[in-house]
Amino acid sequence: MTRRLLTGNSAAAWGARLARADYVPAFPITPQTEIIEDLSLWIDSGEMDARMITL
Amino acid sequence: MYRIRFHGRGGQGMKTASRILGTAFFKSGYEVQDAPRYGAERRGAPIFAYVRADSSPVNERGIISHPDLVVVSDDTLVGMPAAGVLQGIDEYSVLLINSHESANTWSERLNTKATILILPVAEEVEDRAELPYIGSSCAAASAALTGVISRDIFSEALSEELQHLGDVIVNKNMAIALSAFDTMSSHQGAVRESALPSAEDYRKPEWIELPFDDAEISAPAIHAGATSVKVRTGLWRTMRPVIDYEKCSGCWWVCSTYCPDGAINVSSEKLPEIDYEHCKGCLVCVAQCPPQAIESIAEHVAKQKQMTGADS
Repeated sequence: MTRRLLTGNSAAAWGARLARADYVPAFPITPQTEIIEDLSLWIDSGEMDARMITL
Repeated sequence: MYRIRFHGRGGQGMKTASRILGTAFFKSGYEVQDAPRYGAERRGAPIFAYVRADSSPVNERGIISHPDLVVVSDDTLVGMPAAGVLQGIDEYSVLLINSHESANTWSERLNTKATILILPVAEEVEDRAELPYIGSSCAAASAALTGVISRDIFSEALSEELQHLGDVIVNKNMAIALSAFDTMSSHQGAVRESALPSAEDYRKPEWIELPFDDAEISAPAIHAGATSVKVRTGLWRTMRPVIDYEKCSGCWWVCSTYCPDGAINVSSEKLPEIDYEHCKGCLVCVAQCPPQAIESIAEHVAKQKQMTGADS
């Protein structure tokens, strides 16, 4: 098991990923932009199978 | 549990300092929590960040009211009630100040029993919001003071947290941070863990008066007009615009209109006057003044002049 220090935002993104969210209607704005950044990176790299829609 | 509070101004990198220190604690096997106080992250404004580290999970939340270590990246904040640097400091606390002045001077001035340590100012700059590498230095100095973070682990944490800025910046920060680490290594262990609240003599947390914002101006809902006047944004200023009335050609409508904060008033003699209670020091007026009659001087220099009674 590896231990990683996450930001609150990153932890929320991991939550969505582990819950296998398949649709991300995103409206990034401070303070939660990083959640969307993480999700979009994963979706882009194929690590997460979901559709991202920016609102 | 280690409770560490960082004080700086927006732009100095104290939020990053708390992240680097948090990561360094984490890599040293601690459970960690680090967070900036949200909402105040504006250039020049007083910034707060908190790090808690413990060998067991950290359940305590919120601002740190009784810190074991307080780190101040800019000594002009110490005398500013809104910055709350001295809040909850007692004889067990360590106060680390980035300053030109000595620990004795600060001890006398503050009349405190806390241990005061000085992180020497490496490089003075005109605009303190741009103090270079101060965040990294503060993180390194605090890591050394705890005595439980090794130099190597600290370096690892710093590279990890700054790697997105590129190698050149990481290397510069590293060199300066490690020299701060070494400067403080003679005080290794000066900061001690304070006890967790115990069930035996548990006292309910007291209500904490935050000194700076009345509900009227800090609450999310605005119940009255013109409350912005009550927010003393002049505290954020690191550079001060000063009008030279010898050069002023009296075109008051230019500067007073360009001022994004409406902080330039016009006197009954039709002369512009800067309202330093609210001027944030953005220096738009300096750039716009047609006869170039507005000069910018560093706030810390201006304060020094005021204290010594010299002409400002």
